[in-house]
Amino acid sequence: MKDSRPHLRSLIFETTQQCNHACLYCYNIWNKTTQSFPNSYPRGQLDTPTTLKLLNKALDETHCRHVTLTGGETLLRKDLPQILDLLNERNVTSTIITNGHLLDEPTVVDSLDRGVGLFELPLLSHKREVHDHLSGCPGAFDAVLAAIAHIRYHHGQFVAVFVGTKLNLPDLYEMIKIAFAFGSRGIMFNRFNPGGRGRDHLENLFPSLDEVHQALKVADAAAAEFNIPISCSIPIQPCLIDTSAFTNLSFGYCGAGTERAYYTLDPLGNLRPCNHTTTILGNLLEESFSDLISPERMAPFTEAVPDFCNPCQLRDNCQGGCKAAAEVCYGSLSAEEPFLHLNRLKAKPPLRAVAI
Amino acid sequence: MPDNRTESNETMKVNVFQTYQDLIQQAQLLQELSHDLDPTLIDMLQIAIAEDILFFEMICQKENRQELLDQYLTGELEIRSGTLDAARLLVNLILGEP
Repeated sequence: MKDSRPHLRSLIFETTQQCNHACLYCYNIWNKTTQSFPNSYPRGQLDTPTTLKLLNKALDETHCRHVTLTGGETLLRKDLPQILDLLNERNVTSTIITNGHLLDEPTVVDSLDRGVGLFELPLLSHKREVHDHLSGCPGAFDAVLAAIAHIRYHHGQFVAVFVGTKLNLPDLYEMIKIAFAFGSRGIMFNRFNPGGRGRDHLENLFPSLDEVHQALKVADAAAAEFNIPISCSIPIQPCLIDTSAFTNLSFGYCGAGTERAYYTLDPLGNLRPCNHTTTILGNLLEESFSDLISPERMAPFTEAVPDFCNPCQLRDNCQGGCKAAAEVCYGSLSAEEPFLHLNRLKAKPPLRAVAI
Repeated sequence: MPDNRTESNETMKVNVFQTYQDLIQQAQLLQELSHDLDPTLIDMLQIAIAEDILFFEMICQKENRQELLDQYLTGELEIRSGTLDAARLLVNLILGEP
């Protein structure tokens, strides 16, 4: 009998919606706070036995060898050790995304013992005041440096995540330098992608096209200088910036609906196409994984592309950027996401003109 | 720059292994940054770098290279017997400092 279970490169599990930081750029969808976008996302989390049942079901119904645990703040989840043990027993590698505040030495050792292969931690600047301000938490900078030093000391692996906003883009090079010196195995350079609480800080944080372009030049040179991989996983539209010029960086487009997808399970078992979208496909405790990600169920998400992009020959790859950001900021998956919307007049031919 | 020791993981790429050159460069940068950062953290990082360099030295010299590598990857290899001073000395030797 043919095995029809879907292949997933990775599954994201949002362990908890609670957090001990209040990052200005936070995209957690349950944090939408503006009056124009009232927060109606389901809140809460399952108890431990039901959470383990949920994860077992996800792994039973898919071919998935890697799970990323995120939040909220992942380490606030009291039964995290049991979750890690389950993944370890099922021979599934795990990554923990954390702000590092609770990642003291015993927790690092315990996590490594339970099979955590990689930690992802924010490093937003080499300046304490900038990192703390963007994190909405005094002491965040010192805490994250201590956490990554503990990981390095115990020969664990981590990547540093830089969320590029108007406030910290000038600090990118120094941040990469510190991350490399501390032993980071890679850098995630994500342009600020508004959602959640970040939606409320759009004006203060959203970088200009020129600022992002300049930062990419800096990142490209630093990747060569330090021989470190730098990934830009928030899509950058080629009509706005010629990403092929940055040969030392890697770029990604929306992978929703493909094997590159990172389907996201929330703490209640709701499955979404990615961690940035508010679109709920259904609840995994009630339906099968295959049914939840069927082409029919995914179509409203995968087929949504802004009208502006229809003439472009890269339409199917680029898809207009991050449609989840369009959904959160402008109420529609097929709207132009902010980076495109605010820079559309600077979009260059021939990418958008070839089919006209 | 991504190369053949790079592995894709979710939406990012990571260097699964660090090269000898990476470690030397890290040690040099740490020295440069040491005035601005918590000395306790610098000490921890220097020890970790020194251990990784010692490991490189060991597998370059020993005949039972694969066994050492396996022990290292499973965390069974006990290199952390050296003192902090020894680690500092090693890093300083690498940097060509007294």
